[in-house]
Amino acid sequence: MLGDLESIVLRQLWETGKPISVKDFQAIVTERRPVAVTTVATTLDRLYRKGLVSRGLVREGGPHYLYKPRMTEEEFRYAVVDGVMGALLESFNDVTVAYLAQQIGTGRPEELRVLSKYLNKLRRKGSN
Amino acid sequence: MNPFIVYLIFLISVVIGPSQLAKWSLFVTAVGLTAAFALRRSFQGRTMVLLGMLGMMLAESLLFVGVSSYIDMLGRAPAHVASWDYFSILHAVNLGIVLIGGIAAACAGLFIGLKKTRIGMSKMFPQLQFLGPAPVHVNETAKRLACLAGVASPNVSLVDSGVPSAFTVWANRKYSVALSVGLLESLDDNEVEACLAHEISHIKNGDFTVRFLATLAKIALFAKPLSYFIEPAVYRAREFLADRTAAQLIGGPDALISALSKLKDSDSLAVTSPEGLMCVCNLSGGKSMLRILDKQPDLTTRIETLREMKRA
Repeated sequence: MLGDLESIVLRQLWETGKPISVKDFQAIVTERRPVAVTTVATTLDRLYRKGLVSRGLVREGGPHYLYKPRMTEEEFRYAVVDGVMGALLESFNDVTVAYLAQQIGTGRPEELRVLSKYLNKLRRKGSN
Repeated sequence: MNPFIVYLIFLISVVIGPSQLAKWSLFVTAVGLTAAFALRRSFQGRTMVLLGMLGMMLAESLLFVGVSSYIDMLGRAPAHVASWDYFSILHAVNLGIVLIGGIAAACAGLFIGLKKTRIGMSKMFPQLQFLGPAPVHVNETAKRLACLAGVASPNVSLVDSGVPSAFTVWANRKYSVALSVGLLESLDDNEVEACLAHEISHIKNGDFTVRFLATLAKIALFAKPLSYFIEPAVYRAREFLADRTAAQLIGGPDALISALSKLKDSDSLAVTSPEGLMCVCNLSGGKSMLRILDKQPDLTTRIETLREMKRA
């Protein structure tokens, strides 16, 4: 879903936690991986077009954008899983459910606990 | 263009040219390509040769129709044509091609003309959001450069895009230069000036007219494959020429080299930019499988050419 650089940039945006300009942001990212300011600008623009970051135009001190993430890391992860699983369940419902059941069966105890809690909730809803 | 290929075309034209006209047209092609190759350092001269080739091809098409109409009128086929019917069909096909080409070119000319003069920038590019005029100091720089270049100063407006890009359009009887926010936030003042100088050089060199003529000729010559190579070659020559003029305007190629190098760094990302514009940095340039079909020269070649200019 995201390119290598896009995910580095997005992760850094979550870490920074406040609206930031391309130039300031490039200075931070460069510490991890040397990258040109034009590359950062282009990458942020792509993330903006994918709806993952929002930006506001500031005219003072030369026109520039201040970028910030549109969702938290948790929300983003949920959105990714939701997108992938939604598509799988729609196209290959039986196989996907069977696969999930198999995978979760071999999973960690806490995963099973979360799942059984959720199943109970569903059952209660169903019996009402 | 490898000179060897040019001479190969020449050789083929002499040996196996099917008719006098085909031989002549191949000969003209070989001479034109040789001249275009020899003039690769003079972009103005190169443009003239390429436009001349398009003109010759147009004239040749018209001449062929004229000659065949004349022979038609006389009521006898030339000696080397075996059958009269064959000749009539050939004539009709040629007339049809020239007519269709002419009509297509006229329609395209009318359409491009109307589009460029009557419609504002925001309507021309509905996919782009314009944010009003660029900051005062950028507009003043543009004014100063336009004055130096001896052209009317263009409007400079801001485009809502984080991708660094700049382009010029002819709208409402005036040239407008558009700079993206991404360009202003990632380049310093000298580099922005260099980009403006490149765009103003396009205006100074009359590139809209040159490109318009090349495109019209290509449309009219739709049946001649060579025109599909010549048109992008004209576009590329004008880009190099605009770089050179820009370097002269701002007193040296350094700032432009630095701007293009920065843009090249983001070149590795596949970015689409609006089609058919005069871009200082068409980031998709140089990506096509066949480079001779690209209308934008790749940034590496442009930077190298500017470095050569610096050394000279």
